[in-house]
Amino acid sequence: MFTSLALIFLASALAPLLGRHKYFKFLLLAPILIAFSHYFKLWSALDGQSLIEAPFSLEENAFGFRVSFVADGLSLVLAQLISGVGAFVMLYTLGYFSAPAKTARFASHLLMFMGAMLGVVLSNNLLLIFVFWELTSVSSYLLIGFNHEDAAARKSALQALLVTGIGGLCLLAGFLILGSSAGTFELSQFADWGGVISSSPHYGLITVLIFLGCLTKSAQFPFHFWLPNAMTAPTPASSYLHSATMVKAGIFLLMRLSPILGGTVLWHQSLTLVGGLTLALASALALIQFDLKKVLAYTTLAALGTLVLLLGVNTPLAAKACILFTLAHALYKAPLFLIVGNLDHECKTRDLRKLSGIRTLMPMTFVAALLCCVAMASLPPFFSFIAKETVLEALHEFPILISLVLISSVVFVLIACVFVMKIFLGKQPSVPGHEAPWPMVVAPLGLALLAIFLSAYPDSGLLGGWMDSASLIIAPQTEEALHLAYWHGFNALLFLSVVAIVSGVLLFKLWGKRQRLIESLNKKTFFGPSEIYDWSYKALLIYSKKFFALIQHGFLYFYLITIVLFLIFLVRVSLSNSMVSLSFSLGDVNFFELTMAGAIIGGAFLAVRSASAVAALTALGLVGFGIAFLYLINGAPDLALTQFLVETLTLVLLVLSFRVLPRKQERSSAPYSIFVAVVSGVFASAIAYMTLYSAQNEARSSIRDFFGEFSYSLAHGRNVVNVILVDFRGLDTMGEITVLSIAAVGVVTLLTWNKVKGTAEK
Amino acid sequence: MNSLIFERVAAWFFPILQAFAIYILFRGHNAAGGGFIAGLISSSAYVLYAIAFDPSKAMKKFKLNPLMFAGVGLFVAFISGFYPTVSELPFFTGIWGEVFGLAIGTPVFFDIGVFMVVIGVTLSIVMNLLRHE
Repeated sequence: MFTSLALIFLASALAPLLGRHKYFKFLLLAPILIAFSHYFKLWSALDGQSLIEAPFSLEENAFGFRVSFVADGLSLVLAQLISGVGAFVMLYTLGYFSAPAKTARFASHLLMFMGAMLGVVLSNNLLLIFVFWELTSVSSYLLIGFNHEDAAARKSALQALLVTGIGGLCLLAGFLILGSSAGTFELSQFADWGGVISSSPHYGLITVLIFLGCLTKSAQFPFHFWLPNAMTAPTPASSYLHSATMVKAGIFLLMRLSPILGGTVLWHQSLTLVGGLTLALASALALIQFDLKKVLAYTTLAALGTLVLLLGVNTPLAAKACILFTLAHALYKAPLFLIVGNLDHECKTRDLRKLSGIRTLMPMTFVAALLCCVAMASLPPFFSFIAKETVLEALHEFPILISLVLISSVVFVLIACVFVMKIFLGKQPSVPGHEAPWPMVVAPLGLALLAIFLSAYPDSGLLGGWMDSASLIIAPQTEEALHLAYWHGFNALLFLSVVAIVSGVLLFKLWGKRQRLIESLNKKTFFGPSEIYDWSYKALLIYSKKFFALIQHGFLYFYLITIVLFLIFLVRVSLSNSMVSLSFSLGDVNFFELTMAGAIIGGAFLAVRSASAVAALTALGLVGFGIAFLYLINGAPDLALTQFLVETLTLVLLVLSFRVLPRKQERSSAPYSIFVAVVSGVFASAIAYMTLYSAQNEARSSIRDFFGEFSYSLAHGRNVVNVILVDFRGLDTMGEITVLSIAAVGVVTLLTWNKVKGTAEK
Repeated sequence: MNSLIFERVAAWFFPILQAFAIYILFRGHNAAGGGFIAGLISSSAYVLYAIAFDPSKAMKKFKLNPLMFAGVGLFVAFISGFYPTVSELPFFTGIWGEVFGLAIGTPVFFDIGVFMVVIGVTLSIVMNLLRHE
């Protein structure tokens, strides 16, 4: 599993190179197919077991983090879904962009997302799940904002990132509390924790935090608004991330955690409420859209609402329905998005009022659309029919929920009718266009045929196996197996299906006549969560600007004074318990030391009093060299050498920077000078006190002896200072040189900024 | 700066200072010195040269992009720390071997990395300041 992930991420890194080539770009399909067959093979050999893989075989570290992956029914079924649909979407992508550079960039982001998404479903460690979870948000951000010249795309990308990112932080908090109450972050060790966690005092907090994470990711009410806005992404991204996979990440996590956290009133009520609201709202809003992608986005929301609802019901049958519906939805919604992409690509519009009679222009796309629409309307021979019947059966105790799901089915039928009857079979084509390039036709068609293949022998084939192995993880309670079949005799479920289809078709007739009403509703803006988001985003910006201006005022001397005052405060606090009298005598100070001290004091005095900046700097140099000499005579040659060199270069640097400043400085006002003098005086005393204190109470640290003893025997060096720098504390030095390099990049950028800006403007 | 004496001094001192820097770099493990100090010596030679002649002439002598040089140094330092993990030792374990009776270890390469970073960083800052009129 680790290898397959590494392969996908490697492909993502190579995509910027491979994606540019006319033929080599198809090599990018290879890692996805390899990953898929790997998951398929693992799943076939699973036999109800679960495998744990920890590639680095390290124990959980102090924070509970461990790189470990789990192969069980749920993770492998979803991994197959992600890599399988991913392969088709990738194929589509390779034909979608006309510019090779765009193909390359998009393919790279898409593969990165795929790796992250596979990581989410395959990880066994909660913290690892979180890392991949955030990576999906980041790659989603990159994909939504792919057309970054477009301000609307950037805004939607940021919106999606902020909403899912805030949810992600809640999720992390939830994970941390969950992990610390259970004593482990490994999912595989949670197996028997169900009752324990749900009776722990933190249960409510954990569950609410994790819900916030999952529901923002899966775009549930009231966080649903980012998903329709995310439709500014290029269509393959909408198809893959915002319908088939990423928005299911929240659903997946709820599935994964339902044995541990589920089965309580809180779980049941909040999930059914949120799912039901999303379902109702999205079904209604889907009807008043004209942008085809938005129509599909709202039906996706309705489907996600249904899934959350089923998880809330939390019975074994609901778990099975949940898996079936996830698969069915991914296999018709992803290709439908791709079909809309074809329309957008060839006819240059996604407005369903303008599109009609496209069948003659794009016959192959029409075939794919027909198949997908039959699947969306949940008609046999597609297994989405079985999925819907199972959903209805799972909800048979809750008449309100059944009616909600029924409403959404009616909307699905209606929208399927709009696609087939209006857009493809309608009047003569109103817009010019022609068939899309072959990868863009093969991909949706292939997905639709895959759905038919899975539907063929629902019970004995792949589908039944997938459903059984996955639902075993979601709801481990044993119950008799569910037999998947299209025909159960004349019963209530069949009746409901017929009702949904008939009313959907009838509603389509009405829909055609009520265009004006829909148009007026479409134009109206309703006050909702989206407006609250906009408002709080603006408020945050204003507040941050004010706060930033307060602490980053740009006056260097205030920064210095702040730092110095805080240091004085720290010294005062740390010494408050142990104010001891200190004594020192000048008896053992030799002549040379006294001379140097005189030079230092004199230099400092000159630096303060001199009128010109350059003279002040030179005087400061005198102070530095004096200190370096003191190091030298006290037996620290390394320190002295460094001090000399740094002092020289600093002097050069300062003189260079002062060249561009006015030569004569205004003197500060008298009260300010006095204030600075007092602060400096107190600071100097504090430092002097600390120095004397540490000299008197010198603690014998064992590390000093260790360094002295092993410097030569272990590290082959007689110069302890250097051995500490490059060997004993090499990691610190590594950090320091990294900081140095970053600082240099910053300085160079600041100094050359005007030049760069000048050339950019030209 | 137009001073014949200063120019000659800078030109003569330049190779001596570079040689001295290399010497300081390698003796650092046993006596006062090391990558940091050596880097400062070497870059101060370039700074001297740049003040005497012209920053662009000094950079011509250096030939490379200083930031890139610092980056390579960072990479060398990182690799010398990372190398032990290949044989499953902790990050930054010193590995020593003997070449012609002289002990050579990963910390030596680490010090060379530090040396390069210091030169690159100092030069990129000073030269840009010098050019900034």
